[in-house]
Amino acid sequence: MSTRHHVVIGSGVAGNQAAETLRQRDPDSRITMITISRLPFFNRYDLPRVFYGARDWRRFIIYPAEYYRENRINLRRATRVVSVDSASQIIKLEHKESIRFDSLLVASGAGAYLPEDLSEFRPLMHGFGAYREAVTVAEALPKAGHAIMLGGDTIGLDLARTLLDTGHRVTLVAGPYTFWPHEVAEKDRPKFIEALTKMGIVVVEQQERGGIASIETGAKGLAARKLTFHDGSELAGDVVMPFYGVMPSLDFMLGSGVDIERGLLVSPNLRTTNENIYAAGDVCQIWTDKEHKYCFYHGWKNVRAMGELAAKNITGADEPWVPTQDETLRLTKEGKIESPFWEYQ
Amino acid sequence: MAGIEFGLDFLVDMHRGVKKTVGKRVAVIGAGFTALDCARVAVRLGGEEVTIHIRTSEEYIPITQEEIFEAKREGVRIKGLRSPMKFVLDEEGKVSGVEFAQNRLGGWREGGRRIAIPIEGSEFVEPCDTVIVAIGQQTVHEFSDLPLQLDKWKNARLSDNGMTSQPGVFAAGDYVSGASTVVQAVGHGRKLARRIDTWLLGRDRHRQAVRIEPVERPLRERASDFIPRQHMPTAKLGKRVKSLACEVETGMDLATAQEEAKRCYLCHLRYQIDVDRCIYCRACIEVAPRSCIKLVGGVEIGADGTYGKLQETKEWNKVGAIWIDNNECIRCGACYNVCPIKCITISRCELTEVEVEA
Amino acid sequence: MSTDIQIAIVGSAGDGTIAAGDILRRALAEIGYRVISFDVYPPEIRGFGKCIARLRVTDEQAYSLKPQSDVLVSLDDSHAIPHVHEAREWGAVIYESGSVGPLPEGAHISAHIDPGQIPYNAPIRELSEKSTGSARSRNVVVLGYIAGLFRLPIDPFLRALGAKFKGKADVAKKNEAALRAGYDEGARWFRLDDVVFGPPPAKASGATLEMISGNAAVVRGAIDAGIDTFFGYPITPATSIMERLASEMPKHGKRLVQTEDEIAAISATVGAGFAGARTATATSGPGLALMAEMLGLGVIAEVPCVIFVSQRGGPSTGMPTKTEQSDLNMAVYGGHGDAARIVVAPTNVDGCYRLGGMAFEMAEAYQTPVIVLLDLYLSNRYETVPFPSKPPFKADMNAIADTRGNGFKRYALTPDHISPRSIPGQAGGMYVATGLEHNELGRPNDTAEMHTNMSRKRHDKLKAALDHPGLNAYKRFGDEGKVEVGIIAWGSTFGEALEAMILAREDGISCSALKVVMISPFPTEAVAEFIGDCGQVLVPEVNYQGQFAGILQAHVPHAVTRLARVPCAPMEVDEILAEIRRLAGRTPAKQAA
Repeated sequence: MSTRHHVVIGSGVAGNQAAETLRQRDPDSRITMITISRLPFFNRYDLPRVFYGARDWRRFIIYPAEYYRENRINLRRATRVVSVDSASQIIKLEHKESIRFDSLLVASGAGAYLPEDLSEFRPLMHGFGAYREAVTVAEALPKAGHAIMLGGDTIGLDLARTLLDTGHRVTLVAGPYTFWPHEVAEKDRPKFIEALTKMGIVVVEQQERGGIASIETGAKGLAARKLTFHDGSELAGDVVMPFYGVMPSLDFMLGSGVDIERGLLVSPNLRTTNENIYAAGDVCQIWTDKEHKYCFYHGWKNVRAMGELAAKNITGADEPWVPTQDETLRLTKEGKIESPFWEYQ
Repeated sequence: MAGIEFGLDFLVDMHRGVKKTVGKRVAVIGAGFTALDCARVAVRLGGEEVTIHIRTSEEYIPITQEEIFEAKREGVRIKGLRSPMKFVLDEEGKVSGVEFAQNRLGGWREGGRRIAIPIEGSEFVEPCDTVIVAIGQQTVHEFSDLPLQLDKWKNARLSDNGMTSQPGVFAAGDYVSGASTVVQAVGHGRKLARRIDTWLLGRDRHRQAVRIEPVERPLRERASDFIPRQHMPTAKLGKRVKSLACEVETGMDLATAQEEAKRCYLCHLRYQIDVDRCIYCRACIEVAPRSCIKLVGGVEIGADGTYGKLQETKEWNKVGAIWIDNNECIRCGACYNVCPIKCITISRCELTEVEVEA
Repeated sequence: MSTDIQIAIVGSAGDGTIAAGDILRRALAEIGYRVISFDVYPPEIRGFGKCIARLRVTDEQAYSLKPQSDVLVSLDDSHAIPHVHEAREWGAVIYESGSVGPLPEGAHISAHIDPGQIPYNAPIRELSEKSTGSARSRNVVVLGYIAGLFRLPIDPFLRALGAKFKGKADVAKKNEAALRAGYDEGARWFRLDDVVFGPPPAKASGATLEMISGNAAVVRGAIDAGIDTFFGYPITPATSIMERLASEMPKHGKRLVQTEDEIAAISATVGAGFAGARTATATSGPGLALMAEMLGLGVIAEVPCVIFVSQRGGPSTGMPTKTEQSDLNMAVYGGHGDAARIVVAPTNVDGCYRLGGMAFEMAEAYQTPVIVLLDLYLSNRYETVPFPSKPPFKADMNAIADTRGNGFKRYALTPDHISPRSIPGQAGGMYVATGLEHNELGRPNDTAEMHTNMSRKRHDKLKAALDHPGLNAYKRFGDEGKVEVGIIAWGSTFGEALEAMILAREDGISCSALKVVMISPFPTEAVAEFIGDCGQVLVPEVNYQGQFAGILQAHVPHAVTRLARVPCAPMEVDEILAEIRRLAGRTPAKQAA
């Protein structure tokens, strides 16, 4: 079709699906995929496996190096995009390299969100978004250790299942972010909380304790972390892990000339307000004509479909986004929680 | 209407000691510093869910990131892309919510701000107990009856010497530039005092001059560039939201302030290479932390014989001089320290004032 | 776990690339690994030329560098980008994460890293500036980074660094800070590559391991053999032999003279040999050309002396900083007349030491000039060498005759063609040492009979040198008996040949390699026997003509495949391996990851 230069920012589910589709639909084009990660795309859903002793990171990689070579995708890892100039179609990288694009797909995903009032305690908390972080948690958590989980989004609850399975204790400080991104009706909440308790999770309602006042290093001989609530009550654990949902990673798009609210604002065909720039995955807010608002869609099936759709629309199609994934949280007959976001194929 | 406050009045009343209360759910409408201040006061008055509703989005409002962050730490939420349409009242006539329309972003306004366009049929209601409207501040003119000429924003129009359209009447601050900051107002007042002095005296008392003097050493280290920005220490969250009297920014201690001051680029220092003595060893270029030392092939000469721009070259055999671009220079002193023949000089250039003889 | 890791540092002249490589190999050798290392650098001291420091660390001494490196470090992206492919799959590529000025697309090394390689972007420049106030310690930051990343002990690095900046306390302190800054940064990283340094091998007993260059090993051999005098004139890449001797010889009460040119150097050397001293000179191809005439005097007057020749790219001034094996013909045949001499070529640094000493033994035992043929690759390459606690060289092989009584015949025709020798001043040992053809007494004689006898004597006396005690004039490696492919190699290229042979055998090709150390006289019988075992014979060497293959075929008329290349660098193992595969009839397979 052309020797257009397609640039994809992000090498997650959306980015990789998009690059593959772009290669199929535009065989002669040049494709560059930029990611901050040093690893090629790996399976985030597999991360809890480190608690079962899986420590060879190569087993987490979804596509081998050969895949990128065969698809002629120039995978640029450990590379940070600092700005995008939509008018002149130029991307600036942190090391001052400029890349011109004919089409740009922003699929930079989202990072863990930490509520601003907890930001000062960040150094004392453990994240769980990258392989490195997973290993760090596994090392910080002693045998039968105690993890304090804040918020409790579905990523966290998935990890909680593994932690309980591997003989650890989990206390959940529940609040408005519990079960994120599922929207649980006020009346249904007690039964889901009860299901968590049945799983073996100790649930503490944050609001009943007046909110979190501080997180400190535990005194010598005690657990590594001490969490204090505003009502003066305390919790001690080996790790404190925040799971407050995610926030789109789009710092580099500020000032790009593309409309942003919390995510990149895209029309139903996933195009941003610039005709050469598209977005897919957790980074974009898609306009829905039905609801008259911009919505986020999560889950790998949605995200993968978005990557594919964006690539199609970049290469000439003009199809609207239709969510593919059921996003409701379920309770099984045995009273167990099942989230459609927990499985990945 | 019960439960509705107006931003500036709300703040001024609070300042004057008027007892104020807010409901549990507070909706602040507006996107400026006043809106933010109202929201933070509302938190201190016991508001549990305080939300600022803005027409565009966080990226396009004229508030600093630090301010937004501190407000969020205190629990204030910001919701974007919504235009207020009307207040929703309960049976008692008390406000129970605000009806908004979903917006989309339109074109650009001056100052990097955006136009928001409400979408027809997208109206929704956000329930609340108190509404604080913090939009549309205007310059106050009621205190005087002077017929001053005003501009289209209804602010006083000044001539070059700082005088209004009325001889002998001067103006400064928000009265001239519309709502801005205290810092800008103080600066404006200072400048205006000079102009008044000049007007009274019939001549300038001072004249500006540039003083240039040699400096013996760089006065700054490269390491200073790596000092992270020192953040303003703030009062503990729990403490600050309990009291209106608790100052949030507690001020830097001496050591922190000095560390922060070290980050100054000392841009009044000027670095120059003496081309006649330079041996073109390139040592300075190798240590330069940015593209501040340039290879120059020649200089543009205008039709009238004046020098124009320097022409950069990348080819070593075309280099006529090595030149320090003082716009790029961060005064780290690396070139000065490495130069084997000390052909780099540093001079201090200062804008000073000298008295003008009567 | 066994260690076999190759690190390549690529930079521009002035970046401190070579210095970084030197500190790194010293530190790794101190930790206890065996090291082989060779640097590539341009002729200019400053400027824009490419510098590469490569080193391979192993448990057992390696024969050559590997075709692919496990770790590649860029100190200058424009030079390093063409070498990125050199890093292997799952290997590490370490590079500067920032940039001073704006870059067009593709100018940063990160654009060229393969998906199989692991990128390590480090703020090298910033760390240098933070820790020392200047960007000049970037090379030391990188060293610290490597040490930190691969969890190596920092102390050997600090000691190697301290030794480098001995006497410059201020510079040493700053660089130590740079090293620690780099170390902390490297140690901070979560490792994703699979480059693993195993525990260092246990120290061998009875010998001290030392990391040393080829030229330094030659010097050590000469000193251990008791060299008395040295006369030389500097020339790359032989200069460091003289430099080192100049500092070492006075410690042993010996003398070194830098003469006005190469002709004076060889003249004084032959003179000193005549006077009974253990003596040597050192030069490169251009110098050897100047020495050719005087060498002939040494041959006809049967004077023991040693000439170390380190070859570089030629002819004429050629390429002073590039390695080549193209002075072989001149070493063997150079000069006028039938001037047979001993030519030996060490194949590794250990060989440089042994031949550096043994050359003196042979010069005396066979009363002739001995050329020890090195090349830039061997001279400048570093290896860890096990030095015996007692020097293995015989102190005196002068065979000074009992000259009391009448009729001392300095050039007597004897069954073994070695004549009795006297030194000047010896009672009854008087004779004429002349450049003219002579009779047994040394008096001029140009009869056909005498010239024939003397020519035969001068040639045939050398044959015994092939069996000189302690010298392995040749040695076969690899498969015994009949093989598909046999490689015959000499000098520095033998290491690559051996590495290629090992890889070929892993591929299931039956293969042997014959190392030929003594080229004049030529080990004809041994070579012929070897060739008899080989289906195909491959002769790799770094010159255009295939000079060694030419000499070989003059002695053993048999078809051989010449792999004569002038890559301005050591021959690539891959290239030899590909040729072995071709000769063995194997289709070119993909390089295994």
